[in-house]
Amino acid sequence: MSASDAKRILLQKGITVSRRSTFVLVVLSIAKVIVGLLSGSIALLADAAHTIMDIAGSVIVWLGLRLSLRKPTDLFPYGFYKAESICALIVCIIMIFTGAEILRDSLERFYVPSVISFRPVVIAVAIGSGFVSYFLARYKERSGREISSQGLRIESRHSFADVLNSALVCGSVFFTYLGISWVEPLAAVIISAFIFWAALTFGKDSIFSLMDVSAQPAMRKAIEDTILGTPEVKGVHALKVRRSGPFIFVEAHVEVDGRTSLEKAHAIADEVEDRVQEKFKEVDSTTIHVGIHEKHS
Amino acid sequence: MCTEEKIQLLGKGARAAKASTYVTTALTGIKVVAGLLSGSIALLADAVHSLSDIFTSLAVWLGMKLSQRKPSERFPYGFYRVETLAFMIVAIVVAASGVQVLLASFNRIVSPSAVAFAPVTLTVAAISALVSYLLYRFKSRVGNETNSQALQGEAKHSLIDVLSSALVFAAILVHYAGFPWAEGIAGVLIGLLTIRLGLGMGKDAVLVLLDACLRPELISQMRKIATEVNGVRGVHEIKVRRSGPFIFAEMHIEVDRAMRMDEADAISSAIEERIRESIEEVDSLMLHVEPSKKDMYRIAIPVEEEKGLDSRVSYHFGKSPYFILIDLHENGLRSWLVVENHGARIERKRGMEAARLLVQHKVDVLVTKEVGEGPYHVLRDSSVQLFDLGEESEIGHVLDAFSRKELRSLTYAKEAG
Repeated sequence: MSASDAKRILLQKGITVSRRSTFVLVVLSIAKVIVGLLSGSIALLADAAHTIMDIAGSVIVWLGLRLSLRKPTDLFPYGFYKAESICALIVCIIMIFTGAEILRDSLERFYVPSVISFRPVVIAVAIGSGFVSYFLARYKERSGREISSQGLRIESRHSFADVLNSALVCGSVFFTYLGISWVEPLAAVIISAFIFWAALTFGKDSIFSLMDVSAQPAMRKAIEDTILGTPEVKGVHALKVRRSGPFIFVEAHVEVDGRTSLEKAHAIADEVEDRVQEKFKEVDSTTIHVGIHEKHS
Repeated sequence: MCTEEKIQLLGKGARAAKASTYVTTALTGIKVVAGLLSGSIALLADAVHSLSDIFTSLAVWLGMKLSQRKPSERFPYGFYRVETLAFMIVAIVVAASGVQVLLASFNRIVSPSAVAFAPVTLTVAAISALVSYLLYRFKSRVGNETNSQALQGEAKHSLIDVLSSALVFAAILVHYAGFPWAEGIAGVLIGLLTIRLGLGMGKDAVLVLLDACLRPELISQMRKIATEVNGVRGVHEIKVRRSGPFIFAEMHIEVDRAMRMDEADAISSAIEERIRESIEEVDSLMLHVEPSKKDMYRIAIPVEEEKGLDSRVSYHFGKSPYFILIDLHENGLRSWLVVENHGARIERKRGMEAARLLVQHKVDVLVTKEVGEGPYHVLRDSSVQLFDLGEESEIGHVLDAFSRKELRSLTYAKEAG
C-alpha cells in the first residue's frame, strides 16, 4: 500500500526531527555543565538541570513517534498511532510542572529580589542557548505541522519557552543594572502563563484525541461531500471521523438502491474508500457499511 | 443494551463514586478533628494522605458523570473514554502514593521513631480501616456490575488504605514486642505493593487508550455468531476496542457474490441483532458486507438424460430425472457430475426432495425454468442462488450466460412441482 508507505515516510521524518532535537539538547546541557563547573556559576548548573527536563520531553516525543510507526498487531488492531497522543500528554504534564516551578520562583523573587552577578559567561551561554532553542522551536513547529504531530508541536512550544527564559536571564541583568527589580519576576510570571497556556491547549487536544474526537467540521463536511459525490451513492449517514495520533479513521454507512447486486455495492464501497483515501492523505483506514437507501416520502 | 440502559449503568457508577467521595471526605474530617484535638501528628499526616483518596473518588465521580453525555457532532463515539481517563488518574495517584509510602518507610527503618500508644490514634485507625474495607467491598461490587475499570481501580485503592491502617496497629504491636524496625519493613512492602498496583492499572488504562484489543475471546465469539448465520461464507478483520465500560467493534462479513443488496442487508442486520443480544457491552458496531472471494461455483441444472455436458436440459424441477452438477472454477476449468433425482418417482413433495438433494451436494447456483414455493425457500435458506433457465436448451450456453452474468434471477411460481 503506497498510501501507508507515504505515512511511514512522514513519521520517519518526525522521528529524525525529534532525534536531532534530543541530540542538540544533550550537547547544550553538557556545554552548560562544563561552563558552569569551570566558571563556578550556580545559575548555569541550575539551568543545565532544567535542560534535562527538555531532554526528557524530547525523548518521550521520539518514543511516541517510534511506537506509532509499528504495524498493527493482534493486540493492537488499530496500530499504535495513539501512542503519539499519550506522549504529547506526558510532555504537557511535564510542562505544567516546569511552569509551576518558574511561577513559584518568580513569586518569591517579588519579595526577595535576586542578586544577579554581572557575569559575561552566564550571559553568553544564555544568548547562545536562546538562539539554539529558537531554531529548535522553528524546526519542530514546521515538521510538527507537516506531519500533524501534536507531540512535535508541543515540544516546539517547550523550546520556545526556553527562548523566553534565556531572554529573561539577559533582560534581568540589564534591569538589575538599572535598579528596577520588579521587571524580572513579572516577566517570569508571564513566561509561566505562556507555558501553562501552551500545555493546557495541547493537553486538551491530546485528551480529545484519546477520546476519539471528530476531525474538524470542515474536513468532516469535505469527506461527506466526497462520499456523496461517488456515483450510485444515494446517501450517507453515521459518518464518524476520528483522530488517532497524526492520522484519521473514517467509518460511514453509505446508502445504495436496494436492487443493486452485492458485487456492485462492494465495488461502490471500494470506490468510496479509494476516493476518500486519495483526497485526504491523513486518512489511514476507511470502513464502509453499504446499506439500502430508503426513500423518504 | 440500549443507550438509556448504558446511561443508567454509568449513572449507578457515578452515584457509587459520589457516595465514596462523601464518605472519604467525612473520614478525612474525623482525622483532622481528632488530630487537632489530640495533637497527634500521625493522624494529621494520615488526613493529608486521605486527600488523595478524596481526589481520586472525585475524579471517578466526575468522569462517570461526563461519560453519560450523549454522542455529539464533536464526539461521535460518545464520552465513555472519560471513564478510562479517570481510571488513568486513579492509577497515577495510586503509584505516586506508593512511592511516598516507600520513601517514608525507608526513613523509618533508618531512624525508627518512637510510637506513642495513643488510644485516639488507634481508634481512628480502626474506624478508618473498617470504613475503607466497606468502601472496597461496595466499589468492587458496583465496579463489576457496571464494568467500570475506574471504580474497580478505586476499590483496590481503598483496599490499600485498609492495609495502611492495619499497619498502624501492627507497628504498635511489634514495637512492644521489641522489633522497632518491623514497621518500616512492612511499610516498604505496602509501598512496593501499591506501586505495582498503580503501574498495573496505569498499563491497563494506557492499553485501552491505545485501542488495544484486550479481550480476544470476544473476537472468536463474534466470529462464531456471524458464521452461524445462514448465507455467511466467512468473516475477517474483526477489530474490538474498549471505551470506558463499553466495546466498539467492526467486522468484515463475506457472503455469496451473486446476492442482492437487500439480501446482504438482511444478513448484516441479523448478525448485528445477534451480536448485540449476546455481547451486551457492545456500543458501536460496524459491519462491512462484501462478496466472498470464492473461486469455484457448483451449478446445478435439471437434465433429462445422463450424457454429461451434452445432456438435454429438463424444463421441470421436481420431476426432472437427473441433475447435472458443474463445478465452474475461476480459472475456466470445468468438471461435472450427474446425480439421479430419486424424488422424481414419488407422488408428492417431489420438489422438496430435489431441493434437499441439491443442498446436500452443496450447490451454489441452480438454473431452472420453474420451482415451487417450498423448494424455493429450502434453497434460499441455504443461500443457493436461483436463476431462470428461460428457453435455453444447451448446457454450454447456460454456463456462458452465467459467466457473463446474463442470467435473470428466478422466484417461485404459484403452481409448480
